[in-house]
Amino acid sequence: MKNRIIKVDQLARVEGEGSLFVKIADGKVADVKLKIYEPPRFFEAFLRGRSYAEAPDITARICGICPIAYQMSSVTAMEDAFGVEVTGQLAALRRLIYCGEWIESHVLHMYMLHAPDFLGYEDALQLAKDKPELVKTALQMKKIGNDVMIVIGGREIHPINVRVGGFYRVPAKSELTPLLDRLKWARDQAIETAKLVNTFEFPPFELEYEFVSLRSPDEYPIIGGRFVSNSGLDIAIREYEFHFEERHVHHSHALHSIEKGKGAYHVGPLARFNLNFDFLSPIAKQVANEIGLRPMVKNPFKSIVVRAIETIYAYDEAIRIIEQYEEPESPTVHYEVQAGIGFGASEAPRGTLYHRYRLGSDGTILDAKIVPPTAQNQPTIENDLRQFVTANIDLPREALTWKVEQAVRNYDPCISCATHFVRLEID
Amino acid sequence: MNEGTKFSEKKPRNGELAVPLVIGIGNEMRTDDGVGLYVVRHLGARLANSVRIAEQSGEGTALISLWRTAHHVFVIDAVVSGCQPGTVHCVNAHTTRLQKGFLRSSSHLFGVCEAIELSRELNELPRTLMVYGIEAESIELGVGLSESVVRSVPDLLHRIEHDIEVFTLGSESHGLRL
Repeated sequence: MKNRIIKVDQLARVEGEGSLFVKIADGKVADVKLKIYEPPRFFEAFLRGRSYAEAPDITARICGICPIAYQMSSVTAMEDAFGVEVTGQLAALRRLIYCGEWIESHVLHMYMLHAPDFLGYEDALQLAKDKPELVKTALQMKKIGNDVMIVIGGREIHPINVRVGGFYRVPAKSELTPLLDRLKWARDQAIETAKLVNTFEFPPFELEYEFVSLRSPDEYPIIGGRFVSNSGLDIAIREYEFHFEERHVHHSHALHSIEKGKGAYHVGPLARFNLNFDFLSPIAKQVANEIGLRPMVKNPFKSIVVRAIETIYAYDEAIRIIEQYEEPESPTVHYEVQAGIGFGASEAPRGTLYHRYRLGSDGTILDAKIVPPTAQNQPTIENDLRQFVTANIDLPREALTWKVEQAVRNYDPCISCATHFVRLEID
Repeated sequence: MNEGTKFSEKKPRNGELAVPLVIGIGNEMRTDDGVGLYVVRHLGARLANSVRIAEQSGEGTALISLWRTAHHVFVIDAVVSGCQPGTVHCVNAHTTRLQKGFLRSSSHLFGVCEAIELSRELNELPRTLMVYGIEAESIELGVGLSESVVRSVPDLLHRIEHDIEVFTLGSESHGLRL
C-alpha cells in the first residue's frame, strides 16, 4: 500500500465544519490538509454595529461547549477598552463558572470521545455496554460542572448572567455551598480518572512544539494574564497581533494562525500544563507527580492525562473559591463607556481564545477579531498527522485510520462531532 | 476509577416522578431549529400545572439528568431528514433506536440521540420516552419559524396531549386535565 488516501468526510454542524485529507504517495506522506470552517469569521462581521454589551451573549453562541470562554474573553476585552478591571470576589466568581466549563468539557472529552479510542471501543455507547458504572460516574462528574454553570450562569449552555463589569446577579453563599460535597466527591473521582487514563497505551510519539498559553502572576491560567511560550515569549495580551498572525490557506475557509518568524504553535492543556505546572494546586500537582507526569509533556496522545490533571485542578479550584466566597456588595463594577480598543484572552478548555474589539464613543462595536483555539492548532494538527503517518506508514489500513482519528482528537477540536468520520481509501 | 462509588444526588419524590415532563429542544436563533421551544411554550400554556415543562439546548448529559427526574418524558425537537417541511415524526424510544443525526438540535459532541442511546445502554430510559421530530424547512441563522412548520404545530399539540394521557394513564399523576 504505497499509495493511499486517508479522508475525513466533511461535516456540517452548527459549530463548525471540517474534513481531513492525507495522501500517501510512493510510501511517503505527500499531502496533509485539515479543513475547518469556523463560524467566528461570520460572527466578527455581524458584531459590527452592535453594542459592546451584546458581545458576551452573541459570541457565546459560537460554541455550545465553551460559551464561558467566549463570554470571558469578550467582557475582559471590553473592560480593557473602558480601563476597568474586575477583581476580588467578582473575578473569583468568573473563575468559578469557568471551572464549571472546564469540568464539563474535559470530562465529556475524556470519557465520551477520547477514552473509547484508547480502550478499543467504537464509541461511548460500546464503552457503556461494558463498563456502565464507569460511564455513570463520568456523567455525574460532568453534571457537577453543569450545576456550577447553572448556579452562576443561569443555565449550563450559553449562560445568561455574565456581563461587562461583572454579572447581572451574584449568588448568595448559601447557593454555592451545597455544591461543595459533590465537588469533593468529583475531585476524588478525577484523581482516579487520572490514574486510570495514565495506564492507557500511548503511541511513542513526541515532537518539539512551540507551546503557547496564558500565564498569570499567581495562579493557573484561566482568565487573562500574559502570553508566554517555552521559547521565551512573554508578551501582554494587547501585543498578541504583533507576534501572531492569521493566514489564509487555499484548502480551508478558516484562517491558520502562526507565530511570526516561527510557524505552527500549540495551545491547549499540554501548553498550559507545561508552562504553568508550578501553579497547579497541591493535590493536582501531587497526583501528576505520582503518575510521573512532569513538564515537558511532548506526546500529544497524553493530552487525555493532562486533561485529567486539569479536571482535578478545576474541581479543587472550585472548592477553594466557594469556601472563600463572600457575596460582593455589587454584582458589577462601575465603568464609563468610551471609544477605544480592547483586548481580551482566556483559556478555553481546548486552548487560548483571543478577542479584540474597536469601539465607538457610544460603545458601538466598529471592528472585532476573534481567534479561537482550534484555528490556532490547525497547523500543529496537520504537522502531527504528517509526522505520525510518516512514522507509522506501514500500519495496516484499519489501525492507521484509527490512530489518525485519535491523533486529531488529541486536540479536542470542535470538528470532532462523530466517532466514525474517517474513511480510508486506496488510490 | 471507583466503579462501585455512588453519589447520592437528590432524588425526586414519587409524586414528582409521576408528573409528565415535556422537554423542548432547540436554538431560537436558527429559525426552525427553535420549534421545540415554541411547542413546549404553547403546551405549557394549555396544560398549566398538569405537566412539567423544560427548555433545553440539546446537551446530552443534561438531558440524561433531566429525564432521571420523571417516569414519563416527551421530547420535541427539529429534524432534518429530507421529508416535507412540517412533517411530524413520532418515535417511541423504547421500541425504536434513533439514528445518529436524526435530530437537528444537539451540542456538537454529545446530543439528543447519543443521550437516548446511552440511557438505553445504562438501562436508564424513563418508563415513557416519546420523541417528536418536526421536519424543518430552514435552520439558517435568524429568528422565526417557517409557515410550513407553524402549520404543523396544532396537530402536534393534540397528538402530544393525547400521548401524555395514554402513557400516564394509571400512574400516580392524578389531576391531569387535558
